[in-house]
Amino acid sequence: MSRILIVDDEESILKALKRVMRLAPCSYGNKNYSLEVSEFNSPAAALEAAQNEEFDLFMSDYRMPGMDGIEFLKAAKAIQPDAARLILSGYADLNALVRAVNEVGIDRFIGKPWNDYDLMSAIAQALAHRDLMLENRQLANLVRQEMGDITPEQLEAERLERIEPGITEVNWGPDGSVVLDPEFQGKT
Amino acid sequence: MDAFIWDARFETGIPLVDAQHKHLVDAVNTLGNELLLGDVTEERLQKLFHELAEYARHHFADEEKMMSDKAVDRRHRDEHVGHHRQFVEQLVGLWKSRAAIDKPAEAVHGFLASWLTVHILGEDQAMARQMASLDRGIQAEAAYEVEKKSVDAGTAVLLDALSRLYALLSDQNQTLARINQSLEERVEQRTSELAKANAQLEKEQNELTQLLRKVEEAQQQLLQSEKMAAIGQLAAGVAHEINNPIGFVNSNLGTLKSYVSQLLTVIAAYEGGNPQEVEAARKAADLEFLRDDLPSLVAESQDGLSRVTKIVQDLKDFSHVDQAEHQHADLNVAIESTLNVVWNELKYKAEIVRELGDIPAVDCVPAQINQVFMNLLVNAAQAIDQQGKIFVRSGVDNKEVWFEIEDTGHGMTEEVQHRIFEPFFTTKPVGKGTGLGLSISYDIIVKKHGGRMDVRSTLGKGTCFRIWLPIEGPNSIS
Repeated sequence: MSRILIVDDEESILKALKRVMRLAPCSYGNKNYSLEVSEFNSPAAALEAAQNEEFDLFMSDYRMPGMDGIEFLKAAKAIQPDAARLILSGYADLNALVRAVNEVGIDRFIGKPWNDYDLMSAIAQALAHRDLMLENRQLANLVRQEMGDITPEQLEAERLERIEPGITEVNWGPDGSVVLDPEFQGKT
Repeated sequence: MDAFIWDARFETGIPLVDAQHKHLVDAVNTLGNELLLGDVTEERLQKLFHELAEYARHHFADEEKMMSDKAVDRRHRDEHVGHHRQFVEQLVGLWKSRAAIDKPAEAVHGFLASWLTVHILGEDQAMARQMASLDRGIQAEAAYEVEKKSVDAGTAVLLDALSRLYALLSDQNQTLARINQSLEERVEQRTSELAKANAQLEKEQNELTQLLRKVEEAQQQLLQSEKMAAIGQLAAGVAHEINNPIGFVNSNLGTLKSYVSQLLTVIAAYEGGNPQEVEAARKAADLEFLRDDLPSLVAESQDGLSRVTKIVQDLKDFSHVDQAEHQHADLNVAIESTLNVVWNELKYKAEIVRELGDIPAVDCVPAQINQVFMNLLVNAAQAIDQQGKIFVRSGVDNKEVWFEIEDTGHGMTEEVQHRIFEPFFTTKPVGKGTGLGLSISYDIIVKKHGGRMDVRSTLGKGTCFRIWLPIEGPNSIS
C-alpha cells in the first residue's frame, strides 16, 4: 500500500483524482501499486499531516492561496525527504518550473488537464524510482557495514534522522538550555 | 450716337483720297452700328475692326506715297505722317481696352469720327491745297508757307490746338497703357507668388496630415500592444482557471466511462438471470459506491463546465468587441466583469472590498474604460507583496462619476509618483510590465473621455487611484 498525499485548493480536482486512483491500475514494470490517498485543500493542513504521518508521494497544485506548490513541496521535502514529489498544475511560467526543478527536485511536472493514464503511470514511475533509491541505499549501507565504513549506530542514527529530521542534533539555547520543540528554533 | 455723315467740305479734290475717305467714313459707321447693337459675335467685331484698321493703314500709305511723289514740303509731311502713326496707336489702344470702357461703341465710334473730321478738314485739305500749288509750279516751301498763311488765324489755331490735344491724349493714353501693363504684370506676379505660397502651404498641410496619421497609427499600435501585454499577464490566471475545471471534467468523464461499463456488466448479469453472476458483478462494481458517487461526479462536472462557460463569457464581456464605440454604459457592471477576469490574478493576493455606489450610465467607450480598470486592478495586486485588500469604490459627484481603486500594497515614493504617467516608466521587473499601462490609462481617461485621474500614495501603506468621468461624455464639461 503506497500512501499518497495530494493538495489542491480545488475540491473537484481532489475528488476527480481520488476516483481515478481508486479505479485505474497503478503499475510500473511488473510492480503494481495500490494507493491510499489523503487529500487536502490547503497546503497548511497537508503539511500538518506530513508532520504526523509518513507518505510515499506528495502531489501538489502550483497556484494556491497562502502558499504556492513549490513552497509546499519544499517544506514537505524538509519533513520527509525520501517521498517522491510531483506538481500537477494548470499553468506555470518558466520561472516556476525552474524553481520546481532546482529548489524542490520534483520527479514530474504534470499539466492540467491531465490524461488519467499518463498521470497514473507518472505516479507509478515516481514510486518505482523511490523504491529503487531506497533499496540502493539499503544495499549500499549493507556493503558499507560489511566493509567497516559505517557502524550500526551510525546507520540507526540515519534511519532515525529520516523519520524525524533533526532528532540526532541537540539544539542549544543561548542560555545553555536544550531546545526540544523545533517550533521555537531560531525564534529565541 | 450720331452717324458720321459725309460732308461736302471733306472733299479734297483728289479723287483717290476722296474715295478712300468716303470708304473710311462708311467703315466707321458700320463698326459703330455693329458695336451699338451689341449682339454681334466678337469674331465679327474683330473682323470689322481689322478691316477698318487695315484700310486706314492702306489709305495712310497711299497719302504718304502721294506726298513724297509730289515732294510736298518736308515739315508738312513729317507732321502729317506723325499724326497717322498716333492715330493708329490710339485706335489700337482704345480697341484693346474697350472692355473696360463704360460705353465702348460711343467711345470707339466717337473717336474715329472726330479724329477723321479733324484730320480730313485740317491736314488732308492742307495737303491737297499744297499739292495743287505744287502742280501750279510753286515751290514746295513756298506752298507750305502760303498754306500756313492762307488758313485764317482762328481755324489754324483751332486745328493746331486740336492736333496738340490729340497728341497729348495719345501720350497720356500710352503712359496709362504702360502703367496698366506694369500693374497687370505686378498683379500677375503677385498672383503667381500667392499661388506658389498656397501650393507650398497645401504641401505642408498634406505632410502634416500624413505625419498626424502616422502618429495616430503608432498610438493605436501602442494601445493595442499594451492591451496584448495586459492580456498576456492575465493569461496565466485565465489558463489556470480554465485548465482546472477542464482537468477534472475530463478525468471525471474517463471515470464515468468505467462506471458505465461496470453498470452495463451488472445489467447484463441481471439479464442473464444467474443470481451468482449477478452477485459477483454487483460486488465487482461496488454498486453502493457508484450509487453514491455518480450524482456528485455528474454535478461536479456540470459545475466545472459552467465555470468554463462563465470565464469565456467574462472574457468576452471584458474585451467588449462589440462595444468599441461611444455608448451609455453602466460602469459598475463593467468593473464587475473586469473583476471577474482579473480575479484569477487577484484571488491569491487580495480580498476585494466592493463599495460601489448608485451611479448613472456614463457616455463612454466601455472597452477602453475596462482596460483602465484592469490596469489599475493588476497594478494594485502587484503592489501587494503577501496578502492585502483592494477597495473598489464608485460614486457620483455633480456631473461626474468617480471610481477609486485602493490597495494596501507597498506604495510609491514621491519620485515614482511623479513619473507614473510617463510612457515606458515602470518599476516592475523586466518582462512584467510594459511601462505603458498608466500612461495609456491616463490617455483614455483624460484625453479620450475628458475625465480626470489622480493618485495618492504612502510608502508602505498603499496607493489609491481615483478617476472621474463626465456623465454626458467628453464634450459635456468644458
